[in-house]
Amino acid sequence: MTFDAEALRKDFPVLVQDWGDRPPLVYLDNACMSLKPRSVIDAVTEYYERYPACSGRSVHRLATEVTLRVDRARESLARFIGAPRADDVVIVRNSTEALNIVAHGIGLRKGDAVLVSDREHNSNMVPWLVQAQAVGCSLRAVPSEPDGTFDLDRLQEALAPGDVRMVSFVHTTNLDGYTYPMREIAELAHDKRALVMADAAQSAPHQPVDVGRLGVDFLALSVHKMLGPTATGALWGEHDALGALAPYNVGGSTVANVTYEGVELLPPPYRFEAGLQDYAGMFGIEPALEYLERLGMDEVHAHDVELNRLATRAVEGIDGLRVLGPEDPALRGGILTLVVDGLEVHDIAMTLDELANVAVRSGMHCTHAWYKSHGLSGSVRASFYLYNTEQDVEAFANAVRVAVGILRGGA
Amino acid sequence: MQDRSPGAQPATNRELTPQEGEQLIVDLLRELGPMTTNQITAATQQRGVHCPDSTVKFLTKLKAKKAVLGGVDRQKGTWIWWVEGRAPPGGGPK
Repeated sequence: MTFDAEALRKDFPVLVQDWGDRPPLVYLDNACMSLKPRSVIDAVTEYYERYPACSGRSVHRLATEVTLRVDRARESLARFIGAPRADDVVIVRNSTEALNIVAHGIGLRKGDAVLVSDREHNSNMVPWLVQAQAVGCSLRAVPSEPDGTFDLDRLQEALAPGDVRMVSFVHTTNLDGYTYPMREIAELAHDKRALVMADAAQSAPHQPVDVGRLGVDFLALSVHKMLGPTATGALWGEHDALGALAPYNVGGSTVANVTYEGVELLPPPYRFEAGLQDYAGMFGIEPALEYLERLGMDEVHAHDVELNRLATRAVEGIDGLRVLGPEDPALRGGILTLVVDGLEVHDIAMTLDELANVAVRSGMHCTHAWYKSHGLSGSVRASFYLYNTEQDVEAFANAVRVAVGILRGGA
Repeated sequence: MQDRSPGAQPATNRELTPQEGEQLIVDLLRELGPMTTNQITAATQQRGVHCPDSTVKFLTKLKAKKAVLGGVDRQKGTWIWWVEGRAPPGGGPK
């Protein structure tokens, strides 16, 4: 282990609470939502207790403090992803909102094509499908290899017709943790004059993400998956690309001037942040990112992979259990997705929760298209993060073994 | 894409309101005794309706509200749902 995860647990109130008769919580639903450290909770509380005002409008000292904190949240996001300019970062509720801003804003037309991977979250499918229905553009899913990896030749084939306007790929998939070669994807797409968007909802919390190195035009992330307050996220856009987007949600705080005859919008990022915002959440962004930066993202990644390696080994040999995605845990980051032949995935998850206080995700994880195309009704997903320990992995594997035994009628 | 607005749902698979869904499930469990998630899903489909959200998520909400009970039936090797007064033999999983 690269840092002392056990020592970090005291920073997360939910991990040290008394569960009474129940075993201690083993929280392995981090791909959905991360836990929040005390520093983030305190920052959110500080907003409500000391500065419950608006940002960017009023001139009193409460509002000025909120404006300064929002600026700091934006600057910390820019620093975290290696963005040269803070004003290229739009603060949003989540990656979904970021993807919608881009899908609606680039002005797709009939005949345009959008490429996605075949393992996209619905958030990187539905906005494009709605555009396809509205304007007559098309959406094509580029297939993965049977072993769960990605071959860039498939992307080249999909780009060949020359009609691709946007390549919007998940960076790390929430399905099985595989990370796509985004830099190479961006280079191939740019050679064909296509824009590139990376859905970094599952990569930014777990590994270094630098927009310059990735070479993409847009990047979406969810801060609530990286220790931040719930419903906080960001859209980063390359300066000119972001400026070329048409906002779909406008109103207060998005305008420089309004008359009865017309409107002059503010430049990005403000034109995309209409109306009063979740300022309490924004207060919590900076401490969340600082927490991660103190640990180091290379170290967080190494920790997650090590836990996944241990977990993969620990569940080996359980009757009928199969792990989805690449065989090598190092290619699956912090995500272990499994199915057990003949058992309902929700039954497994509910049994883990009931018997062992192990929290995992079950179902299709919002990647319906992939599951349906593979004839699967879902899976059980354990996702690890910086406060998970070897003891958590052991408790999870033991609980899976017991649950499978019970559900097979063997206990 | 399927239009999910209330007026657009096919009459044969109407989504129940939360109140209707709770009443139907409690009635089913009172009438038929303990059931698995799949049995409840099939029973609602037979009636041309489905629960709000997915059946399993709706059931976990009802369990949290204590409107229904749920647990692992070790003899049958499955998760089952029941209501007070119609517990499985032995009073249900502990």
